Amino acid sequence: MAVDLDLIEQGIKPLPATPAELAAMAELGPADYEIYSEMLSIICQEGKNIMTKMGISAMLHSGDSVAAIYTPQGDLVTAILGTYLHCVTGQIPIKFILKYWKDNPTVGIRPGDVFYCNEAIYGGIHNPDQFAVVPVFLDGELIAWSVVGAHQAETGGSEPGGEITTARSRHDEGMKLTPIKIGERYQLRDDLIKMMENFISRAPRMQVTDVRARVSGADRVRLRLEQLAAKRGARFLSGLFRKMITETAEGARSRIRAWNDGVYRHTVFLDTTGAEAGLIRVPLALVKEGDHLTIDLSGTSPEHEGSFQALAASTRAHCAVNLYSFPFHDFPVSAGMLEPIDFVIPHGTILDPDTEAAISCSPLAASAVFPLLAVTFSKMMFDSDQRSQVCGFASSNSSAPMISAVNQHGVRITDFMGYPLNAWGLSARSDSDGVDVFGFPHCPWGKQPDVEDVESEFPVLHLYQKMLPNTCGFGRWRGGAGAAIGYITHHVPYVIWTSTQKEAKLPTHAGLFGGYAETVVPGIRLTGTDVVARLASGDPDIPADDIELITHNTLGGELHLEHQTRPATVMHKGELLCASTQGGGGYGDVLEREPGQVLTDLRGSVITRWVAEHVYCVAVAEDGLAVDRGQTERLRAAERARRLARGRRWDDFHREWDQLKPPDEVLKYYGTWPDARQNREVIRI
Amino acid sequence: MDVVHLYERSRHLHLLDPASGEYLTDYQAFNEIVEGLEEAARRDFEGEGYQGGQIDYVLELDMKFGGQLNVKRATSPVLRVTSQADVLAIRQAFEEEYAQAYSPLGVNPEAGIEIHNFALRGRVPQPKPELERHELGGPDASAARRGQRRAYWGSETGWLETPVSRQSLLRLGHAVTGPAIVEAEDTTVVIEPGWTLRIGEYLDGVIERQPAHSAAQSADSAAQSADSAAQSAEAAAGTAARLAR
Repeated sequence: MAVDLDLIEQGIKPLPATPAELAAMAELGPADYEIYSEMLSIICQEGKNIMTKMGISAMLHSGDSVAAIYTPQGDLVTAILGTYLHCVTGQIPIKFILKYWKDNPTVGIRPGDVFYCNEAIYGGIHNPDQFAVVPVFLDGELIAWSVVGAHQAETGGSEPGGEITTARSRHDEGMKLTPIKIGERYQLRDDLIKMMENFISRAPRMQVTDVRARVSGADRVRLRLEQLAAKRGARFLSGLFRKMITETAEGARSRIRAWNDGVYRHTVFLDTTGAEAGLIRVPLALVKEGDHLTIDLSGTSPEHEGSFQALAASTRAHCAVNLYSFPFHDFPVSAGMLEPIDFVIPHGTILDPDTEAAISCSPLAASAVFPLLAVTFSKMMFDSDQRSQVCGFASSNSSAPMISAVNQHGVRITDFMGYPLNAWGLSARSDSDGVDVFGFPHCPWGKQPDVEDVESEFPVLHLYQKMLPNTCGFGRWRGGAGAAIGYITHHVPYVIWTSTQKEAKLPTHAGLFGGYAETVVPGIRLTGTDVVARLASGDPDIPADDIELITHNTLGGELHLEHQTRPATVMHKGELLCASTQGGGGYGDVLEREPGQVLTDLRGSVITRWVAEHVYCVAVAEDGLAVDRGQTERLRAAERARRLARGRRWDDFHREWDQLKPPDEVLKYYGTWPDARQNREVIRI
Repeated sequence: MDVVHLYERSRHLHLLDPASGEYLTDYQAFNEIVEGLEEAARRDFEGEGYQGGQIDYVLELDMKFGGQLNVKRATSPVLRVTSQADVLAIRQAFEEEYAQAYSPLGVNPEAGIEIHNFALRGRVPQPKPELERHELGGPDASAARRGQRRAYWGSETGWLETPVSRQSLLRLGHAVTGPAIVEAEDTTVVIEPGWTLRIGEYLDGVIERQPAHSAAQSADSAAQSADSAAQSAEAAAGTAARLAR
């Protein structure tokens, strides 16, 4: 069976309304939409709660999940998230099942069936995202679908953790399931559960438990929908569904129409292919015409044999994160939002490679759209009623290592460290600072786990977990700060760490409207020492964060500074791995930040004195308790004079700038310079 | 209200070990915690003047399948574990409550079963007050009537001379049909046109909508009273039959 490209490309757009649906919609009584749209949200919330209470994996608990309801044809009606990516991941598996299995005599769709999938080609993000897909019937008629899913950090790939940094093709990435039926008559098939457990032998308990958790969540949504349909009828439900899709579509069009027509551009860079460091370009043009938007990623660097790539469905899903988080945050989450929006994602680039490509690390590549859409939408929304939505959002270095081990209770475990994944800084807005260690941009409702819970299940001891100075992007408004975390391998002889991260050499974000970018995050490891023994000896001279560790390592052993993108690495008992997070980008001119706010930043250890004086040009008294206003004015005047002296006419600047080029060694995967066309053969094995 | 005290102690025990597949054998670890909690309960109840023997105990356990983050509180069928049968009984009770709360599809003992917290409820039951029950009378509530007055019943109905009754004179079986006012010591009960107040066995009352109410009927409260009197007689007969059983 060839890859069904048409299904993949069209699947997220809502199907046109049928006359029956429109008639049912017209029959809705006063307040029916308001009351029952909320009831559907509550039903989804119940399903998500069930899954969350039953599951194991860190991402499921943090909230990288979805519970959603779809029309019988597979269009999204509403979802509780979780991760906004999943606004667009349930549709295509449902439409696949309808297209290929409904009338297939060996499969079919019947009440009590449970389907399951994680194949990213068919609508997903990457194979750690697993979904339970359950049809809902009333009197033998298919009336809806429920999808409940979550990210689970183990896929049985060539490295632990589900995001295989060294993957060269899909064949290194482990279990990938096109939509299959794993349950009938409301019972799961033990042979298929066993099959999945066998695939995921690094974390078999997590696989089985979390399959059951997802299925139980979807089953609860099914039950509630059946009860609602029994009470109000299938026709009522279909009218309600159609209205929820229509409201969002009409609302989105109306808002888009109000913005200024134009083409809004931005470009960002990645610093690795996953396998090798190197410069990769991703430009974006946001084209607004009338009530329609086009997101155009033409000019993106070509695909390669590394792992930091994303299929187009995943790229679209990452765009959905921005769309639902900011410009359309107040609309019902339904398929209607994508009606007035189209995508141009050139095939053969890192954002839509060949289907044989490695894509388990797709968020690392596709999240390039986070700063891209943040900046382009900010440019468009500044002159509109949505100025409050102007925000740099976040980059996506994906701070979060993964651990794989036999834990202190003798159980095989593999999972993300949930805290760093949910402790990034959020960028500044047009009128306020960002948020320190706010969370995970894919999932605004995510939750950081408690240290005690982590240490109870994983063989680690935290040396430190705290905010780190100077991690935020500076500006008139500063971005949120990031955190430094140090994990000591504890209780067991060794563990294996992987870290699928980027932005160790340059940040993908670049700040907004003159604000600074946030930090890069280097990889730091300490080997050949026993930190726990040091602690036990009562030695008071222990580094309190990354900066102290690097500048004055009192723990002995060998300190490694490296790219944060690390394949599977063995760390022995007592050794230390650092897993620090990014800050958020700044907004506006640093010289316009109120000196009093700079002082507050300094006193709160968000910045150091050096930054206060040399970046913000604010003079602080010796005792650090007050601003020297006179000296600050002088410093700032001097900096403004230096800026004027550096100033050039545009043509002169452009002529010089055009001559500049990075060294060839970093351009291996960039494509041709400067327009990033394919210029090498890609051979996957 | 019963006198209740709650005691908790956290302790991590593997009821069913995931690695070895074996059940808990260290019964003493389980029992000494419950004994300690019972001891604390006895001390507190005795301090309040009760005897140890008056206390009844319910033990709940915060449990989970291995690896889960969330604990589920389940009632333990036993206060002491003395054999594997007791351990299995705890397992079964937990799995049943878990299946009810979440789904039977989620029961997963292969993951191991853990106890994380013991919660003991000690209770000394107290005598409950008996509510006085009353003799059944007929539906005719005219003995409770205390005159009438003009009252405004909304723009559709307008002003009516409205019968006023006293709550303290109403008896089991009485029916008062709206529009009517019933005056109590501490409140005023307003019975709208198309509704009827029926008095129950504790001298409580239920106001019910009459079927096929219309504005015209509401003016004829006497006719309504006759209808509802018949209904009340039926209801009262039913009540009487129930009381007689």
